[in-house]
Amino acid sequence: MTESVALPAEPHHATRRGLMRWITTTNHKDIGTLYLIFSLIMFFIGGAMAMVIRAELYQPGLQFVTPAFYNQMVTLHGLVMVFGAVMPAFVGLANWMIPLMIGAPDMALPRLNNWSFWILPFAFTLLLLTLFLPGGAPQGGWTLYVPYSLELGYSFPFMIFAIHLMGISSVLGGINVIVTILNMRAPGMTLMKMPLFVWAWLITAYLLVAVMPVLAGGVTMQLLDHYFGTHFFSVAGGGTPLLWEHVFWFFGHPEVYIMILPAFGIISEIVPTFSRKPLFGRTSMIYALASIAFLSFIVWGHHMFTSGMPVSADLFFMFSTMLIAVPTGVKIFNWVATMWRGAITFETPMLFAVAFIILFTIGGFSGVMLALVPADFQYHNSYFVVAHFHYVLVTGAVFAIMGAVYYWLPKWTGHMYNEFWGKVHFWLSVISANMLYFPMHFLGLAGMPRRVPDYAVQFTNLNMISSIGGFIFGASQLIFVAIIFATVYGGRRAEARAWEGAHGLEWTVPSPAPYHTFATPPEVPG
Amino acid sequence: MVVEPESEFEEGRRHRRAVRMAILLGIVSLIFYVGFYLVGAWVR
Repeated sequence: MTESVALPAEPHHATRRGLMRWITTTNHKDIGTLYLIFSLIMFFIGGAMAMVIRAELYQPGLQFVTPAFYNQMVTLHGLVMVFGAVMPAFVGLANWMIPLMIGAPDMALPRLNNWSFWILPFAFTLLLLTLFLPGGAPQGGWTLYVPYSLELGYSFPFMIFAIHLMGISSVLGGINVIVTILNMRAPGMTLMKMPLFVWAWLITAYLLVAVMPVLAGGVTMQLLDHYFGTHFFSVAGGGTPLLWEHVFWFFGHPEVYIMILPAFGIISEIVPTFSRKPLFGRTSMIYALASIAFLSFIVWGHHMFTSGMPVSADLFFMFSTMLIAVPTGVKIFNWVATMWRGAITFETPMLFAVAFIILFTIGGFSGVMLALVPADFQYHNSYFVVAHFHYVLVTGAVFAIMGAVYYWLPKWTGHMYNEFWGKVHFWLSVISANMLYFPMHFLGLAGMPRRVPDYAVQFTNLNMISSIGGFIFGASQLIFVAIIFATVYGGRRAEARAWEGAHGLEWTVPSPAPYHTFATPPEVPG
Repeated sequence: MVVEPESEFEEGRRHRRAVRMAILLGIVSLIFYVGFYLVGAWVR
């Protein structure tokens, strides 16, 4: 059955106007925009909490907030940044770009897509409302460790319900990505021809479907312990708090890769474009992504080396963790090899990509240090850990998101951003982020514990440097917002192929991308 | 290569396949949810 039929004329704009357009939309570009705006708002809310933390740590002693409020800030900062800022940003990029990159007219399940997004504002309203409850917001850290978590007051059910909602949103979003990629590709777009960003997202989506329910199962156990008299984790009833750590980190480590694999995909798009060369070792990049995803399921114990596991378990988790350095090294090598002898230009997306490669590698190195059991006994619960995961998640994931925004902004808005201000934003961000996070390595090695509002005086100077870096980093992001607004409302017209070295189906449609694209499947070159 | 627009029949079949796949993945995620709960109960 291959007869050709005339497709109904599609309106090239949304059928509804105003607020109803955004509430009822099933268009992948609209939903992508919603996710990205939501993520930006959450980035600033989580960032404001980080400013409170850095202000309090500017000097030893208690300056501005109580220890309880400080703990609330630490907990909410983690939850908001992980589930509200980084993950929705990647889902937004996926919504916008996956259909354009594979030549599909939309996501496979557009109504489910709408629902996946609109769950999120409710989830975060519930979570942030806890700040106004008696007793305040959750204080146990984003890891929700028991017994702290079980001792929370009114905020506990809000937090558990919010996490369930975030999980449902993520699983539905992940399912939609998988079925879109497997069912909606244009003729000729074989799996191995798919862009690396799409590959990274396909693998990430499988991780989401596999591990978000594990977190949901865990928090359900906490809910039952709290309200229904079970004793999964409560020692008083014969339960074991260590069970929570296993369940949480079985989710938590793949979660880390959920936040970094799409970033790898973005860097694999940006580096070849601005090096004007095809990606080096394309197939090995795909296998490396899959290997990292597989290994992410068998390394969770490295978060628990000091919890008293048997030495054999410590050794297993140490070696499996160090194995991850192999596929990650393959990726770093391939990005560098792509740049080697390329006709490189350093527009803002490329600057962010190069910064990613260097700074993510620093985060990776400290990760290998933390994977060593005897060394981890020293580093555990210190600021060294905070330095490590912020290098991976901020100068890694967040820098990749910023690079992606600059890279695809011309396609979304039809305008080129201001390159001068893009570079100002980049240099301020990269210098201030290093000022913020690099001293934390020394603080941790010198023995400063994490999650404390006060500290010994010998840590003062490095904390001051770190806080000043934090304030500059936070303020620099206002430039980012200004650039986005300026590009949406004006700027030089962008061509369909906004970047000279860019290849791929998304660059074959006009800029800005019409409301409906690829109603007729595009031709994929053989 | 000239690409023909998809017939309604083909499009419908593809959509049904997508929905079936989504339901299957939903069941897999529910199995993980219930499975980990049961593993927790068993370990406990």
